[in-house]
Amino acid sequence: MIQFIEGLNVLIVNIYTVGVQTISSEIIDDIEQYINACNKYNLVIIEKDLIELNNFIKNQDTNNIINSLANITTKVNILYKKVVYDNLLKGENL
Amino acid sequence: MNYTIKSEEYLLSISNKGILSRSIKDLENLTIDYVVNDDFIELNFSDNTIILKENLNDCSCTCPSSSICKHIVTSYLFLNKELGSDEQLSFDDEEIKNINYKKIFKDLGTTYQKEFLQNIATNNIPKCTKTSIITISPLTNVTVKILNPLDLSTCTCMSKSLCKHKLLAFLYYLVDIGVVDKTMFEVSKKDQNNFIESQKYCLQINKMLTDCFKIGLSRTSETIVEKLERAALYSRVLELADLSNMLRDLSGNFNAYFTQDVFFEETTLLNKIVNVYKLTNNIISANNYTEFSKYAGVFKSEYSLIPSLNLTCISVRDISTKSGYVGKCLYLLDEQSSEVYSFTSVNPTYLNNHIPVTLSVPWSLNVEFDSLIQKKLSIRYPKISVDCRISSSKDTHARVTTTIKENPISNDCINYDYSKLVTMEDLMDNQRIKLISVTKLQSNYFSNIKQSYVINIFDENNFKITCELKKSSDNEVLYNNIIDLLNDNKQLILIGSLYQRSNLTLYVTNYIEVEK
Repeated sequence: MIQFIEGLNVLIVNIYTVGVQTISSEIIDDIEQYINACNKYNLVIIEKDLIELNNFIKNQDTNNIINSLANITTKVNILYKKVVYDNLLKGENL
Repeated sequence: MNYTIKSEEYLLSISNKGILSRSIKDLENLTIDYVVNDDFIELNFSDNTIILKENLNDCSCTCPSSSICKHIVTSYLFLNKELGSDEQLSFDDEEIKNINYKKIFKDLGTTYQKEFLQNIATNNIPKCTKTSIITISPLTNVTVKILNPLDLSTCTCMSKSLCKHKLLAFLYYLVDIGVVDKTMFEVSKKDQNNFIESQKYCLQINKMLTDCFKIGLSRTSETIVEKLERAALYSRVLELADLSNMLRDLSGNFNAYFTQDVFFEETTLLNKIVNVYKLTNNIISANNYTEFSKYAGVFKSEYSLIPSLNLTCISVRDISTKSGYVGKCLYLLDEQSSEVYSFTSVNPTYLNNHIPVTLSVPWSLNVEFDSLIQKKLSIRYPKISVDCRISSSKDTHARVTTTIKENPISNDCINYDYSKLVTMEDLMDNQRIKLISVTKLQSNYFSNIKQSYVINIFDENNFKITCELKKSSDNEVLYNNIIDLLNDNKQLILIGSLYQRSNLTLYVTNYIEVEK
């Protein structure tokens, strides 16, 4: 789970690094892979946002891409906190 | 005159514990004569004449006391038994309903006004407990008891006059019983203009961030650092506290990216951009001032008055900053709440490098700074910030109550089980000063990447905390002392700020050696 969230974080950071205007086809492929992976971890809320993001990218709807990215970033951040908290409690920082 | 029973809780609120317990005791051996008249009750005992009326403020006693004396309290206790019916005195809302809430709101001052509006907008109203009195905590650490008549209301800040806590409590109670709501507070023209101006300015910031997203971090110009600094400054002028702090923070992060700072993390930067972007979106879409004030935030640098504290000085640390300030930081422990408070006194040395620094001792204390260690202090009218720093306010007075010879810290305040330090609320964001007992040292080294001294310690259940000390000459001495003592099998308690990120990190500020 933590690898999935960290991976998703890297993907979002990559989109931000290159800029919303120049998203490559590789990034779109990556998003599709993450949409499939969401099923595995039962992350319906993020899956919905990723599908939406994918559509916005295909339509080159820049403003909505930014809003969608902001929403995903916030959700991933909350999820990351929850996983870190569970891991810290288990003592997995050993 | 009809008499209604005054509960002990009510009598305690109008007097104090001492008076109430003395009155209860006196009542056992007293003979009291009394006459009930149309609008007052007259009582005679212990050579005193007491006149009780409906309004407590109109009651009188022939004794020299200017406030509610034990004779008045004894009279009420006596009448409770003699004339008491089943009807208990309950809090009468009439008086508070008729107060001029607009004037009270005005007297609150800008900071409390904003906090009040923000809380009622988010429905975050403190709980009101209603018995014969109303008990309410309008701020953390402050409890107000609202009584009939209202001017007898008490506050734990000990103020006899109508302090801001009492005013806040009145307003919260009025909101709680539905007499007033958020729409009834008029916004001054200045604030209204500020609201419109803020929305316009947030649009500009939002556009700047949208451009950042569009072109991407790799093509963002270095000028953004300065632009964000300017935006932070102007947001402060517009009294957008949260936005100002976030923009300054964001500017620092962009600066770290351009200067290739080793601590820079792209994820952190992205999270900060998103937070500012969302906040500006919320401010832009606010429909009215109340909604807007929810997002504007309040400046947290202010100190608030709290009830008296009894603290133990557990440690003093020397401070010298690169910007040319030298001083000391005092760590004070509240054994009741296990909270560690700090007080910092610094003087500038950048102009007079050769002149020795003499530090002023706070709170009218008549001792030297260094001799405060292991002293117990009773501090009256302390003012504290949200991160538990105590102000050097002239209104605060302290006195040394005792000197402790043995270990100054009780076991309840020391953290032996590190897993208990993990909390969801403090995860990632907050830092807290903690006292951590060191049982096992696992490893220690200097990290070239972090430019920090690192000490890995374990508790008895093998739960790890990473202790860090940023590289400096002072910290090098501190680090060497800690390692030497741990290698000599000494028992240490580390004092530091605890952060919860992907692991537990303690930024050590000092240590205390204790007997095993």
